[in-house]
Formats: sequence, structure tokens, C-alpha cells
Amino acid sequence: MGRGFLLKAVFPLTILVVLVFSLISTPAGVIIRLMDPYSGVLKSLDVGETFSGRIKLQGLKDRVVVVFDSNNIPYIFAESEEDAFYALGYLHAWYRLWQMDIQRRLASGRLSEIIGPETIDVDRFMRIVGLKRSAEKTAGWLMENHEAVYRLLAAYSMGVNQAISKMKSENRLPLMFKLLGYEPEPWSVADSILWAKYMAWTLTNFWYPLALTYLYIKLDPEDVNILWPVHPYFQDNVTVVPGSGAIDELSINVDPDILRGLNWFEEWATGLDLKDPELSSKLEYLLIEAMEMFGELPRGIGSNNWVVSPGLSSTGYAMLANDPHLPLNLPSLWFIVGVKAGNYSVVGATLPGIPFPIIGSNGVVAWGLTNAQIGVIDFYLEKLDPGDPTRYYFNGEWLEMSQVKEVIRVKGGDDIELTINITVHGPIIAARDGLAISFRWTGNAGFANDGSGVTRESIAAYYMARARDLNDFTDALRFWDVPSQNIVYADIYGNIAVFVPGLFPVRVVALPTGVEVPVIGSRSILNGTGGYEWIGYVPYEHMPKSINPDRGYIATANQMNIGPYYPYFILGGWWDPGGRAHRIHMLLDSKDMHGLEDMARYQSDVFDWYSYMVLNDLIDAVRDADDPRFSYVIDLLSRWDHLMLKDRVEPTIWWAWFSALQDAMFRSYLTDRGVTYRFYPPPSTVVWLIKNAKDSKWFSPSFEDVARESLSTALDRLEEMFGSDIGNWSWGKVHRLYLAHLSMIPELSRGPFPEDGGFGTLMNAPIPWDLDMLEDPVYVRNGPSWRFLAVMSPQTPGCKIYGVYPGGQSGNPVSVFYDNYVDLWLTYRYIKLQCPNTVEDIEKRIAVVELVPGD
Amino acid sequence: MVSSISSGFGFLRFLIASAASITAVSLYRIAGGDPLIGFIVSGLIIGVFASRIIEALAFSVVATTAIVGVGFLIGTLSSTGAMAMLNLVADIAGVPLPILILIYIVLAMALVTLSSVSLFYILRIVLSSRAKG
Repeated sequence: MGRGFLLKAVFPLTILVVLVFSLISTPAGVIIRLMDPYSGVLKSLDVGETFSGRIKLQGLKDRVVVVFDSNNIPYIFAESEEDAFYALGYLHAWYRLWQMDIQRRLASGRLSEIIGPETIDVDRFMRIVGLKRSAEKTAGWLMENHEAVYRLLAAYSMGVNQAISKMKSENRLPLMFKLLGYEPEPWSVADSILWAKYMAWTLTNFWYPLALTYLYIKLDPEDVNILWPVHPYFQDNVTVVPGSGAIDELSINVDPDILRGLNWFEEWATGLDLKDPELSSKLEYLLIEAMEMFGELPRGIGSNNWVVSPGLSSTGYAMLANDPHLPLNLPSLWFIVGVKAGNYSVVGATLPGIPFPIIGSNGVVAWGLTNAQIGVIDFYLEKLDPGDPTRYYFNGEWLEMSQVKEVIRVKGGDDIELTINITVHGPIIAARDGLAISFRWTGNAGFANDGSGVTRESIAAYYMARARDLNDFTDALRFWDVPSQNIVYADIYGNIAVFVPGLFPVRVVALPTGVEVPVIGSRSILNGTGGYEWIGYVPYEHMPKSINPDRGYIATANQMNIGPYYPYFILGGWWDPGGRAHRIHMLLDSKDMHGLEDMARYQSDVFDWYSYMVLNDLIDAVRDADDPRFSYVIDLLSRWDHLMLKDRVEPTIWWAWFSALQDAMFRSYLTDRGVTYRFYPPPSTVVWLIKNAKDSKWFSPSFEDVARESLSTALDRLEEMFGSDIGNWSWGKVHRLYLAHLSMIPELSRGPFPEDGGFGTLMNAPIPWDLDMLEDPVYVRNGPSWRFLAVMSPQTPGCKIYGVYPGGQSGNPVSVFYDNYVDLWLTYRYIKLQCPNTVEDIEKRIAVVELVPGD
Repeated sequence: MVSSISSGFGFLRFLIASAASITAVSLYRIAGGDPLIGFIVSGLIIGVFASRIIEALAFSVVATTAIVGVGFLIGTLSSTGAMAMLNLVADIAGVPLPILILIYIVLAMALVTLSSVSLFYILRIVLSSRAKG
């Protein structure tokens, strides 16, 4: 060997190795890494593809069979629930591992580790919110107090980890791991709970009390109460739970109309003199800082569901429909699965990362969810010790804040050390000038209201799917803590019901008259020095609910949950403006019997209730105008059926007109008073003002003038954008859906697609009421994330259960199952789900996998 | 070219080494084996047949080109998934597809060469120690 050997082989090889490794961190190195035959992207081709055969898995107790149907829906058959959830964990990871990992990172504030400095603010905010701390405590509590559910979560984690180990050992991690150059850590029970917590957080982190406080500081109190009323206009007759709201003999102790008319920003309600110039000037900046941390209020986060009793059903059975409106991304939030393990038998939609189906049916009962929109987060103004800002004043004494120290690791940057200050209310989100804003949220307060963050919805989700009748189901809901939801129910015995479970925090407020009233939520920031605390939660027995109501149906669309005589006055009700709720009622009242096809048609309904309510008033106001363009437009709109169809021009004109109208009513009013945010009132307020206050200051100099001016502006803007030929103004040019990949990489995204629907249609597809988006398009990014229909006939197999979401089961972008449901969803078609008793019952199977215990 | 190879490296060994490695890899790929293992096996076969380091290197280059040409370009690239994946990576990275394929070939060649040279030297060490023994 000797010198010749060194020169000829070792030296050149060393140079080669050094060269390759030095290239790895450069852009060229990334390409080399991706194309590396040893561990590059071509090794990951079949991850997320459907497979057949036998796989040995460590930790599995018995044989599990998974049958895939032609839509790539896996049906899991196991001897035990533990094995079934183990298999589900394996499948979730096989198809959606990167999605699960990025979701976990988002929720725990660890995006910057893999992305870089761009996501530091998001990470900082999520660390402050502290979902991970609450999730870990919940996992610990479950292990000690509810071992049965904990074991299933642990089995699921084991399945996920088996898939991770297999992919890692074979260098077959999904594409996104290779693009970003990192590997996933093992999955834990706390990670599953974390994602559930994150979903709960996004559905309940309404920071309207901050926004309304800001508006109250800036505007006339009377205006705030008219534009953002305590309870929204037009909703008393379409509440989720029919009736007055009283529970048996128990009702609110003060006339609700009096309560609605009070100024809930005043000192008697908040403990703060918000009109005090010194306080308000300090508070304004603090509020802005806090609101900017929270970011944009959720746009179009809402949902529809309804149940129809057998008496109104042409099938003879109860029927259920549900479509939760959530962010529409690729991969989708949802993953369809069927699970059969002994008595546990369910088909429905799961969230990758969480084992228990969220919306589905077990063949006996079916259930669906919409967001309850009730305020379960309160904001407190903390008074800090001028000499030591880590101390705050509470109940007559200075207390030390508890502190949590965290480190945010940043790819390509320095670590960031973060100290999170926490008061008795919760974490501080903004502080300056001796004041700070903290918040108390039910998901962090925990079911015992002890600040532990322990919540039990995973127990509820497990038992709901096991329910064999209404009583079982109702019992399961005892554990439903967050997010508060409108849960509709239908069963094979013909029962229909709605429940509004969740932790609803109660405070007792002394009115100016001295009468004490129990309230839920708040309209404003509250004094944090004591006296405005949660005294507990609404007891389970007082949960709003309705079982088999006389009218034969129940419909929810994020509207007011219960009538105003409910024993607890709902002060923080951040409900939908009501257009969808009215429309469902119109449809369900429109005929005596409804079929399955009707249910599907209602889910795709694009009738706009707001235009239905006010378009004639607006048309009448401009009929005599001398703008030559108006007559054609008036003719079009007069004959319009209020359907927001993508190939029609009327929806475009209506949207532009209503947007311009809101600008004319509120833009200068707000900016003149120093409101720097585009906080417009809800459209139901505009409708109410048109119907009830045409002579008010909101239409200045007159309603006719404002209507004319806004139509003229709308037509000008549309002409600028699309030309003067109105035939070219189809709604689909303005209103487009974009299914962005979670990474936002355009090549992995789909669309934009011209889309039907709008802000207030049942087929919910919101874009802002903002003409500026003509030049700077805003795509539809939220909508019916999962359409679900169930006819509760007792036949299994042969059940009539359907579903679809805009995406596909696989997270692998080169799989045919990555986006194969998108076209079905866009054209309002459904996939038939199956309710098998045995493996042989599965129709249209494409693959069978046997999972067996092994090393 | 052929004459220089035959005179310089031992033409018969070259033919046998190339044929054996290509056949082995092709059979392995047809059976559904991992391309990576195929490359390494190919290198090892070449390492057995090469009598000089320069042969190991030269055989590796020729064999890799043949393997990649036959096995990868025809076999792997005809799979829609692979082409779709490569196109996707090309789009995301902003690198032309032929460059990506070239990088893959060069890296594959490096693998074959590394394994052939490694085995070549291992064999030499083993044989020389036996001869000494």
C-alpha cells in the first residue's frame, strides 16, 4: 500500500467526500441532496401511495387488516381498539407525516427551527399562548385519570412512530422533509392533544373584546352599540336551540332587552373608565400591539349543519348534513377512514394527528359540528408594579408573575430566548407604560378552571363514536371542554338533537341598579386587579340543547345558539351575521319532505340572503338616477335570483355595490376618528340600517345619494378592471378558490379555480367586501372543508353515508390520490362511504394490507 | 476507444465485469429492488473483476452510464411518479430537468465508483495478506 495508495485512491476520495459535504449546505448542495440516489426524493416516490401486502410492525398485538376502496379510503379491521388506533396512526403517518409534523410545529411554536427567521413572530406568539404546556399537562392527566383513552392515544402514537422509524431507516421520508432538510421527531400523546388544542384555539380565539375596546375608545359609545350590537340583528327567530332560551323554569333574571341596551363598556361592567383620556391613550397602543399579535380575525371560519327528523324525510329516516368551513389547504385538514374493532365501528373524517373521528357515524348514531362562537376568552388589563414590572396588582396585593423561559431556535439565525410572564389570568401578550394585557382562555384554564390547561375533549370524542343511543351520546358530551360547538345528532331510532357543549366561563356582573347578572364572555377588556373573574363554568345540566323539536329539524350555521332568556346572559357572542342560518331555515321550511338529494343541494346552495334582504331597497334608491349605465344594471339585478354563480355577472355587481356601500357608510367615519384598521360592522348591521334607519347619519346626505354614489363607484372599478362590457364581469373572475399547499409552494398548490358562492351563502366561500382586492386579488381560502351526509337507516352494510373534501387522502404530491377529490368537491359530488361488518363487505377494493406483529 | 480499453485494461475482464454488473442490477431492479442497492452491487462486482485501480474507476464509469441509461432512464423515468417528482423538484428548485438527471447520474456514478474501488482495495489487502501468510 504506502504512498502510491494514498495518492491514487485515498487522497482523491477524501477530496471528493469533502467537496460533497461542503456543497450540501449551499443551494447547489440542496439539489445534490434532493437528487442523491441514497436518500434523495426518488427514494420517497411511493411514500403516501397505496400499497398491498404484509407488514410486520413492532408493538402490534394482533393481526390487523386494512382494505382500501377505490377512493383510497382505508377500512381498518382489528381485534382490539388499541390495534385499530395503532394502525390508524401508521396510516396517518404514511399518508400525511409532513402535515402532522408541520402542524405540531405550528402549534408548539417551532416553525423557525426548520424555516428560518420569517416565522419567529408566529413562534413567539404560540409559545406565549402555551398550547404545548397545556397539552403536556392534559396528557399527564389522562394517563393518571383516564387510562382507557390514554392507552388508545399511546397506541396511535406507537403506530405513527413505527411509520417514522420505517421511513427514516429506509431514507423514505416524504418530499417536504427532504426539501427542508430535516427529520421528524417521535410522536407523542401530547402531540395529538396539541393539535386538538390548536384547532380549539383557532376556533375560539376571538379577540373582538380588544377590537371593540379600541373602537369604543375612538368612537361614540352609542355608535358602537348600534354598529356592533350586543346580540346581532335578525337572529332571535333562528337560534340554534329553538325557543326563548329559558331552561325549564330557569331564565335570566333581568329582561334581556334591557341587558342588550346597556353600555357594557362602562366602569360598572369593566372596572375601567375607558373614556378617561390618560388611560385610553395608553391603552390604545397596548391594544394595537395585542391585536397585531393575534393577527387577522378568522375570515369565514364557520360551518353549517342540520338534522331532519323522519317525519320530514322522504327516506323515512333521520338525516344529518354537516360542512365545517375551515381553511382549505393541501393536504387537507381531513382524512377519511373506517375503523372496526369489536364494538367500536365508525366511519368518518379524522384529523391527521388525532385518532378519534371528529365527524362521522357508527351506523347507529351520526354527528356533525359547527362552531358555537361563544366568547370563551377574556382579556384583562393588568396593573404592573412601577418598580418591578414582573409584579402585578391583584385583589389588593402585589403578586409575582410566574415565568416560563423558552428558547426559539432559528434556522440560519441565532437562538431567541423568551420569557413568558403569566398572571392569575393567563399569559401577558403586550405590556407598556405600567400596564399589560393578559388573557384567560378555557383551553388553558382547564376544566377545573385552575389554570392547569387540562381539557377532556379526547375522552368525549372517543365515547361519542361508541354511543349506541341518545343517552350514551349525551353522557359523552360531559367531557367536551373545548372548542365549544353546536353538535347535531341523528340516530337510527329517528331521534334528532343539537347540543352546545363546552366550557362556558361565567362571571357575575353587578348592573348599575345593583342587580347581579351571570354573564358569559365580555365585550371589552376587563380590569385585571380583581372583581371581574370567572367564578366557574355553566354546569353541564344547563348546556343549551334541543331534542326532537316540534318543527322537525334543527339547523346551525354559527348563529346565536340560544334565545335571550337563557339563564346566563351571553355577552361575548361572536356569531355569524346570520345569512346562512336564515337560508337553511328558508330551505327546510320550503317543503314538507326532504330527500338525500335535497340535503346535497342545500350544501351547494349559493343563495345570498343579504342581497335578498336589501337589493330592492337599493334598486329603488337608484332607479331615477341619471347615470346611463344604471338602467341596464338595474334590469339585470331586478331579475336576479340572488344565486352567487361563478358564470353570472350579477353576483359581481352586487358584491362590488355592497362593498362600495360599506365604504361610503363607514370609511371616512372611521378614519376621521383615527381608526386605522378596516373594522367595518357585520353585514347584518348594514342590512338592519337599510331596513330600519334609512334616515340615519350612516346614509349621508341621503340613502338615495349613498346608494347612487356607491353603485357608480362599483361600476367604475369594475370597468377599470374588466372593461366596459358587463358580459365580461363574471363572478368567477373575482371569486376564485386557491388550494394552497401548507408550505405555500405554488407547484404543490392547486388553483385558482373560479368558484360559486360568497360570504353569506351556505356554500360558503368568503372573500372580503373590499373593492381594493380587484387589483390585489384575495382568493377564497376557507370554505366547506368536509361535506358530510348521513341517512340514518339501520342497514349495515349498505348504509347511506357520503362525504367529500377538496383534496385527496395522500400528502404525496405525485400520487393520484393527492388531489383526486378536488374535482368532485368543485362539482358538488360525493364519495360513498361504507359501513362494513366484515372485510368481505368492502366494495370496489383496490388494495389489502395485512399488518402483523413483528420486530 | 475499444482498442485502447482492450489493450490498457484487459478487454475480457471489462466485458465480464460490465455484463455481470448490468445483469445483476437489471435483475435486481426487475425484482423491485432499490436502485441504491443496485448501484452498490454493481460497484462491488466491478471491484471483484478489476485488477488495477484505474480499471475499477473506468469500469465504474462505463457500467454506471450503462446502468443509468438502461435502468434509470428507461426503467425509472418511465414511471410517471418519478418523472412527476423530478419535474416537481425542477420547478420548485428552478433547475432544468436535464441538469437534475445529470446530477443524479454523477452521484450514482460516485456510488458505483466508491463501492468498486473500496472492494478492489479490500480484495487486494486480503489477497496480499494471504500471499504473505
